[in-house]
Amino acid sequence: MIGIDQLLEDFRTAGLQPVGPIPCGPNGQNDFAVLRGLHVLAGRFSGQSVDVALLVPKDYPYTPPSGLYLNPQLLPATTLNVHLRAEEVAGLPSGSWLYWSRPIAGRWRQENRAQILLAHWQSVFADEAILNVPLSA
Amino acid sequence: MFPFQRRPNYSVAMPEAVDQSLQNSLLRFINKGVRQEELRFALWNPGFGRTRLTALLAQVIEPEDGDLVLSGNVAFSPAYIDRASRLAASKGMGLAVLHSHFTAGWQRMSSDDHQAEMRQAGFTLATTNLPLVGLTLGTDGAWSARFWLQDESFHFLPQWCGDVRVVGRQLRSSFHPKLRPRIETRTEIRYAPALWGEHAHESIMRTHVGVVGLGSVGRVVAEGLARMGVQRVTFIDHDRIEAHNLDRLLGASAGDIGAFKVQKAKEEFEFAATAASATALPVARSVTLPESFDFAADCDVIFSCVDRPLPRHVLNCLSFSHLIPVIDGGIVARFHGHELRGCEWSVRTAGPYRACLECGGSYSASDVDLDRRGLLDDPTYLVGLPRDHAFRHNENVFPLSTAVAAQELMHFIALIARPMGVTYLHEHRWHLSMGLMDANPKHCNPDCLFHRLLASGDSELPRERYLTPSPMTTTRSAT
Repeated sequence: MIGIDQLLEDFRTAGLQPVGPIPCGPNGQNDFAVLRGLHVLAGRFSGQSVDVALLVPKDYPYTPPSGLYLNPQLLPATTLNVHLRAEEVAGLPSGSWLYWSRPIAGRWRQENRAQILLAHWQSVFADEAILNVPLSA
Repeated sequence: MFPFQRRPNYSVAMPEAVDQSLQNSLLRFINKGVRQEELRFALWNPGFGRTRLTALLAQVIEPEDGDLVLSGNVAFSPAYIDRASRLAASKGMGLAVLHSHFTAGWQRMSSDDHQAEMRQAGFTLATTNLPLVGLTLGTDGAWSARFWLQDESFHFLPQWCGDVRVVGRQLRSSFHPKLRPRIETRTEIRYAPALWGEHAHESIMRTHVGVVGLGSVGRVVAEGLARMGVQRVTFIDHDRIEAHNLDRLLGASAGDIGAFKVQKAKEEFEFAATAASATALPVARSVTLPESFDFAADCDVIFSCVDRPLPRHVLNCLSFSHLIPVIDGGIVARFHGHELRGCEWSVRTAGPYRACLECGGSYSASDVDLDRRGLLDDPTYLVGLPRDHAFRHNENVFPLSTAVAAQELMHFIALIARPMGVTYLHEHRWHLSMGLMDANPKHCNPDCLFHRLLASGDSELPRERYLTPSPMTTTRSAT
């Protein structure tokens, strides 16, 4: 499998229940997967629950998603490569989605891909660099 | 019906291990002095370029008891070809028949060979929907090959391949004497053949080389290729020359501002070429687009002179799936504030039986998606990166670029000419701070996916999966 089918399978194998594929974008040409109710484990937003949407590369798992869309937004869309990219998310379930560009540092490994992505996101939420960002723009 | 019946060029490529297996079996009698031919069937995947169709040999089908009749010549049983063709059809692959001859070099077909292969061509096409490919192995290990295609009267005729390439630690090619003839030179090339031999230098000159990225590194590579006598090159780059390129772009001056880099490179290549009738094909589009990727798939070797993760990823896929070695180089500088703290350049050859570009450290897979989405062209994105982030720097100053280009050319020579028997150069990494160059053995990580693509063409990972730019590339909105 290649693309979103493989990503959905990876998360199901990890015991999660992803929703997808959700066609999004101006012409519905982008495949999103959504993980609902992800609990933030550490850092400034510890204890909160967020929905995560992923725009899945068509050649996944050769390349992973470089970031994640969050709902609620947690941070304003003006800092730290956090962007409101409304044109990309048309078609996602209702909510206010914000794109956090956070590629995985170092080599992308193929074993336990879903766990690697989940651990990476938790480290992003716990990143000290977002501690002092004002919560309103 | 076979959708690609007529192509200007045909070729066969095979991984080193497939070649070794076939050499062992097809020459096993001849190498012992016994005058006995041998035969095998093999499966191939189609590799489409702009003008070239390559049969990518991926799997040898070994005979079972009674499959072969050896009597000086060799004949095969109906059961052998039936089993092989069914397997090919079940995998969506083509069928090739390979046999040995008693002489060296590129082999022509005997009338017996012609009849035997022609008789199987229709059955093979009907079974696999792909043409039969015939190969002959000479006693010196040189291959010759042909596709069996139907003419307008539905007769099967052999369409000879221009070359057969064995791809591994060395790129070893055999060339059709008329379709890919010896290269005449317009000036004498005296010293290079003396260094690594006339035959090896002839192979260099006959190799179709692609250069992707015609900036400061690619232009010097192109100049080197021209002076080494390479006759046929393809240049791929969508950029135009800008004023800030002039401090590092060989041959460019103020009058060239606004011209496509590939067009300038073509003019300079053809001016400097030592080969007669040297031609450069300029492709002024990004290699990440399907139409220019096709041109890259026509090449035998590619120099990757790009600095972005997406084109490197595309070339990484191409190198394994289409058996085209890629020679890649890059420069990294580290700063503390505005102060230079270290500078390195590195060069590596990637492809079959070598570390892929990702495991070799040429790019990070996670950054490919950033590039696809246009974020690396988005000032609002770049300004959010740390000041010393690699994407905020351009280290391509002329002395460093020429050093990288020179080392890339050495990798090219080793890959093809095998000077002193050296074919496999490790990654070379030069450190400014120490004034030293390392030779680092690089291997792919055990879980690397790219080796699954070996000789797969588009069957394992279709090119539209990694070429299709995300639609966001065109919507680089600042928010």
